[in-house]
Amino acid sequence: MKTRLKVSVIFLFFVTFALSCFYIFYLISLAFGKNDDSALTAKSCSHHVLILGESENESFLSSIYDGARSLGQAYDCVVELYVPKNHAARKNLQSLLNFASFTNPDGIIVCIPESDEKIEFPENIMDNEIPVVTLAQYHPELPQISYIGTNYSEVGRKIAMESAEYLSDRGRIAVINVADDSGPNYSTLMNSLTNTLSSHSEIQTVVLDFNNSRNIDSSGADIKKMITQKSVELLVCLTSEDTIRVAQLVSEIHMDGKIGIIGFGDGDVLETYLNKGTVTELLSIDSEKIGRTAIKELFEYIRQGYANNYIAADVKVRRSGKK
Amino acid sequence: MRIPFKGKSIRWRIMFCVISAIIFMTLYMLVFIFLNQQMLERLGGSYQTNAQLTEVSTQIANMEKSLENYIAYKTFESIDSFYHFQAASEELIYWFPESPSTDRVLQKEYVVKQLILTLYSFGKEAVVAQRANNEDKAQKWFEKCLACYEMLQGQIEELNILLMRRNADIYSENRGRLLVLTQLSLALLLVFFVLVFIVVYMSVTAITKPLSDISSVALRIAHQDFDVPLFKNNDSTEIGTICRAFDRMTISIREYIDKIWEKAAQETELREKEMEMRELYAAAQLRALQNQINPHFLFNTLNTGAQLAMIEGADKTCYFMEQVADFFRYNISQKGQAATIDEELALIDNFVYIMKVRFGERFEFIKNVSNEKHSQLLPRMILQPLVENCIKHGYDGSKIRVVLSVEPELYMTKVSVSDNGPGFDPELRKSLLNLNPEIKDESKSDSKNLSSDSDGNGTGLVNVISRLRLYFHRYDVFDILENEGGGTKFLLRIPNV
Repeated sequence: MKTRLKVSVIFLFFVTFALSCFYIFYLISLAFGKNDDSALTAKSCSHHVLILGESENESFLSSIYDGARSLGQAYDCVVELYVPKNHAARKNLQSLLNFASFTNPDGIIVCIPESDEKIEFPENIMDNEIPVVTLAQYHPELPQISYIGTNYSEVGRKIAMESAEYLSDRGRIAVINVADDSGPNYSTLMNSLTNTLSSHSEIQTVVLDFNNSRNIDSSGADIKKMITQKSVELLVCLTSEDTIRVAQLVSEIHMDGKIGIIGFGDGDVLETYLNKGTVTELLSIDSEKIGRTAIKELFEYIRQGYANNYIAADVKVRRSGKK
Repeated sequence: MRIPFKGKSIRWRIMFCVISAIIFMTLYMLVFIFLNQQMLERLGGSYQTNAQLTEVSTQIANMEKSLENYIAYKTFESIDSFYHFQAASEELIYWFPESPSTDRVLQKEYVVKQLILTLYSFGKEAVVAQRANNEDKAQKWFEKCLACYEMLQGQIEELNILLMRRNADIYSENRGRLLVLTQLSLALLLVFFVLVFIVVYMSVTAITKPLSDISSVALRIAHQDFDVPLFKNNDSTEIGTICRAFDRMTISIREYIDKIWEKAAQETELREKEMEMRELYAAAQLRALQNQINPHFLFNTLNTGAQLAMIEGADKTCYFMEQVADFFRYNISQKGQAATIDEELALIDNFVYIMKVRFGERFEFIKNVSNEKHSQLLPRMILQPLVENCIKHGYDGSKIRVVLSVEPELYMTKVSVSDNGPGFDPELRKSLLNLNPEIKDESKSDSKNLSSDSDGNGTGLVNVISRLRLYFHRYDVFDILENEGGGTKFLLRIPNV
């Protein structure tokens, strides 16, 4: 009995000692261990690419950035997005380009806004031009290596086809235009849409342009009235702002899913409405693919000295599960 | 528990235990202090990168200010300051990465570094243009410098915020670590203290256990319990030495006690023998005193008779009475207890003359004694009872022959008294020869029984045998044999010493 007790005590002693040694090593690892291993897991790259744009296009540029970054590892490059966080921090595109030139990147992807402002493209410290891929607007005078744009005529045609399919080639469509967006791209889109819908004889198209004459509140009331009276079966919105606004109005009168909405654009808010079924279909530019394409073109130019001058972005259609 | 370092001394073992415990605890305390110090340094250095970045920002601001002064006033001091601050800032941005990184902070540091390098380049161009007195160009480069500087400050602010966030996380993590380290270290300190206490306790117990055994055994011995087990410890330690010494001491005490017991037994035996002898002697003395009155009276009467016979001319009667008187004189005289063989033989001569007168031709006495002097001592009145016994028991009414021989040998003198009588009763002979005068009760009872058989002069064979054996402490001093040709033979072996 006494021997067994002694053996037990010795066994416990050794177990405790082993545990204590383990905890000592744990303490040493605590004292000498690295705090944040993100710096350790971080990878150094050979190339640096900047994506620039104004705050209006932040959502679009974020998607571009996601797409471009997905190929960053393949091209051993770090992709950074420089967009003013909000309108208060607004910087003009030129200052962003200047900033980009000061950081000597290997390439720039820039979203060109619809304005007549003259843009001076950056040079690096060595006075060499930095390769630039432009998005959105095409300016022939700019020394871009490639332009990736949206074929608005194709987008208009596709919206018309989706609308006709939704109405089964019979019904009334109201094309909503509330936002202050009447540039050339919008005109192209509208023309393509109306032309395509005109080929469907049993579809009546009404364009409700609230932009010029009335304020937003009155236009909203008109849209609500139109919806409650069921004078149209489908609302078509050609910008993301219009789509969000119309979806909000439909939700306010509890007509979610009872009237079709085909919108255009991208973003989290629209994604939510689409998932809820308020928005029936959502057409958008595949901006991530644009980002990937831009990176490919940029590195093709860096490595081979040439790239495609013009690339059209794909249009993707997403449908709500609740039709 | 078996202690390592067998053969080492107790002092060495105890010192080893204590010093090991102290060293172990000290080492642990040092490790604890070192780890705590390390954690405190890390905690203090959590915001070091922010401080470094602030220093970079300060140096860059100074550089820009110097450049501004140089462009405005073109002084030597401003250009010196410009280069000084540029060099100072260059030394501070060594830790910024050289290439882009997927880590946000490292990437921001890379961007800041690129902006700083661009700022250096623009500043250098501005200075070169100013030195060449090309003010337009200098102004152009300086404006670029300002634009770059403005963006740089913005990026530094962003980097500072990023570092601040990361460092805040690090600081929080380090605080947590320090707390865990302190709590765990204290817990481990307690555990180690308990472990060390157990080890020291077990070691010291194992070391001092033999001492405890020794003390318990010593206590038993102190209470006169000598039936203790021996340690049989052959270690070369102090304990081993003590154990061996204790074993030897225990054995010595046992042997000494055995000797004392043996000696005491011997002394008791001797004392009993002495008392027995004294008792026998006293009895003989008493008998002699009792008989002393009549012999004195008889002796005086005999002497008077002898004188009367001599006056009357009766020579034979006179001689006879003189012989009887001499016999009683020897009997009465107490010149010590021992007598020589020659004195005993002289007494026999007196006795034989008296017996001759009594028995005449029926009594034949043959004396085979050499003319040598026989000075060997023996108790008084030994031979006369033997001769008397021979006459008494050997006489069958016709004729009795008694032979007395003295035969000196190398170590003893054989004295034999034999007769031609009917022989000795074997049972009585066996009883007499088995008589043990040293066994007090038995000898008394035997001697009483045997004495009852022997009547007459009061000095029986029992008395003779007992006195001889007590005197010489030998059993073979007296023997009763069958005489050659019949009869009894008493044989005495008197040592020559």
